[in-house]
Amino acid sequence: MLDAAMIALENIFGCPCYLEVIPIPLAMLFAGVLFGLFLGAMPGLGGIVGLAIILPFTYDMDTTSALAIMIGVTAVVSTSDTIPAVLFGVPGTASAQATVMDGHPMAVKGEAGRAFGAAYMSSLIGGLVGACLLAVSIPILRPLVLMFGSPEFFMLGLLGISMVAVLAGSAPIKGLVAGAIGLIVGTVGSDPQLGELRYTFGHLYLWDRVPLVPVALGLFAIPEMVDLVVKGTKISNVPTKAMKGVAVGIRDAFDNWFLVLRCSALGTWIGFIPGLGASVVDWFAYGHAAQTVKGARETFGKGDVRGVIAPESANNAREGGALIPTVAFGIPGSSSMALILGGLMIQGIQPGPSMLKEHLDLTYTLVWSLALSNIFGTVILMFLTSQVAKLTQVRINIIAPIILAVVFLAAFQATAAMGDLGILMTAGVLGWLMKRFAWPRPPMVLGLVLANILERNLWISTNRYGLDWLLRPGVIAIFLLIIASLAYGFYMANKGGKQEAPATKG
Amino acid sequence: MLALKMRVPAFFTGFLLTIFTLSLLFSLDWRHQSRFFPLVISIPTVTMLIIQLGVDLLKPRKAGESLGAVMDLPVDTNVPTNKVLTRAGIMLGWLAGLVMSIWLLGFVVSIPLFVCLYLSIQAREKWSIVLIGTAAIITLEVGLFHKVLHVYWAQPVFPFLKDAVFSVIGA
Repeated sequence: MLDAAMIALENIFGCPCYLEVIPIPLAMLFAGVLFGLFLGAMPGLGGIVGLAIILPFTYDMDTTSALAIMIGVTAVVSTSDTIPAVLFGVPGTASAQATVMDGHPMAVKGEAGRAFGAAYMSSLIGGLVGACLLAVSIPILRPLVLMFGSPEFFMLGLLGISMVAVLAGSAPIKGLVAGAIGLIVGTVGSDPQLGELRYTFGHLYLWDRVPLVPVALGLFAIPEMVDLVVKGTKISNVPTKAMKGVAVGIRDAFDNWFLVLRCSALGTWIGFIPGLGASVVDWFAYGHAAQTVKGARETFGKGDVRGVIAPESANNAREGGALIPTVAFGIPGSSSMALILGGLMIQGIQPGPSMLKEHLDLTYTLVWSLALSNIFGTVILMFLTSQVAKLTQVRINIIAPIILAVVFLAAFQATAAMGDLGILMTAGVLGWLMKRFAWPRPPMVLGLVLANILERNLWISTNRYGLDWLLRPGVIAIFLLIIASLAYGFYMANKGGKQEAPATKG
Repeated sequence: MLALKMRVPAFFTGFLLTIFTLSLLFSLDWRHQSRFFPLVISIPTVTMLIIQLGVDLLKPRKAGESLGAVMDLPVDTNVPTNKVLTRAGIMLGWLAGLVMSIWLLGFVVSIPLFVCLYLSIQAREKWSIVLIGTAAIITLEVGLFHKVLHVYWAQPVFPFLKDAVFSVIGA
């Protein structure tokens, strides 16, 4: 095993070299990292788009270079997607949605540099933890994931929504309803069992379900831009001492090392489960942090650095987790992993158990590439932070039309249909109203992401087991977690309400 | 004493209640497999919304009091409501205009036009900033979305401007 790891490292750092100096696989990895960083910072684009562009070029590459460039693109997307999330409240990719919650208020308070420092460092640690867990966990996790059937997947989805929904502060019912809005929007289109059309009202565009990208951009980007324009000032009126803030942010990540490790492990685990993936991992981690760290109920959502650290450690660790089923079982853990699977096949490699026997060195090439990509990505972004953070000082009237134009372009490229713009605007107005009337938006996004997974697994469970699936040990265990999560949420809301009571009684 | 007062938040809750009631009623017409999941969601949600509506209508609340802490981005409450509504209306009007322009003239023309007009008319920026902003968005649109991603731009109602642009940048 150690031999294979060393061979893999030699493959990356060995020749053939450009100009007899720079190893080609390392150069490819670096190129992939630069491309991935750019894509992550562009709202609506992400690792899948990058891989789709890169994949045709890998035909002529040697196997190590091909793997290096593919991993380079995907590994750092969730590091640079922090930039628009923190600066403008616009999630760069689906996995940066939760970062907006505390990252953007930090930028408003003049702490953009600190938010970036914390995000990049926790992303790096998360990415490295994911890579390490990828290296050691395959034999351990395999029997565990095989225990998971449709009933457990269904309950896991419910657990995710309940965790995020009860974070709705003083009104957990609003959080649960917001989750239900997402779920019901997720049922629009042809149903997965019979193909019967639901809530389409004769619109062909809606047959293929409501796409996530325009909804997420509409819910978060448009309300944030509108509110910034309403205020009519810069994003932050506090002078940004970015470089100083970066150091503080890095220290924050180390001060909260246990949170980073917990969320990294959570991210790897969620990445490992096929079908959950990028859009939920950050919310799971954010929900976990909000329920476990001290004082979160008072400070989360108002610019608490721990609200940045939790999702950022998890979303980078997810890549390592998603690689586990891709490599070990030949089952892609996410949509970007499906393209990596394609890339492996282009190279004539059949993922699955043979990757662990005949091509163990290539498996370790993936591990090393993942670790090196995270290091390169973090170092590059650290150098850029001071310049990027200065954007918070530009007048919003200059920034807003450009960001909104990019948001429209990003929403449209999701399915290249005019309906995307209708969805974007509808979600934008709904998101603005929800924000104004204190309805939480995160559970709605999570509901939309999980609707299809929940419906499919509920149907399979009911058909296969009748009501007996409710008695499965895994289901009971997760059900108890859901009850505990809801009880905790309602208890805390009640406690918060009683504390507020003297001020509210009239 | 609990008093039944019509409040703005109750309108929004009522709107959601209406939507969910309608979704429940629509789903009753579908076959069992198709309506199963929507019913599982809608029935408890309608119940929760009725409770929330009761809370919105009956819970004592002072004028101007916060709607409660919520785990979401904070709202700036320093701007007066009438200004918020006016400015938000103007911004959403610009966005509605952009959608209309995309439908009529196409993406490749409307996006730079939006940036240029917004910066010059709404933001009243200097021409140098207008030109830099417009040039930046053209570079991004043509360079990344058109040339690299090969986005299929939907056909507008009046395609002549789009065709003219494509003859310059290459279709």
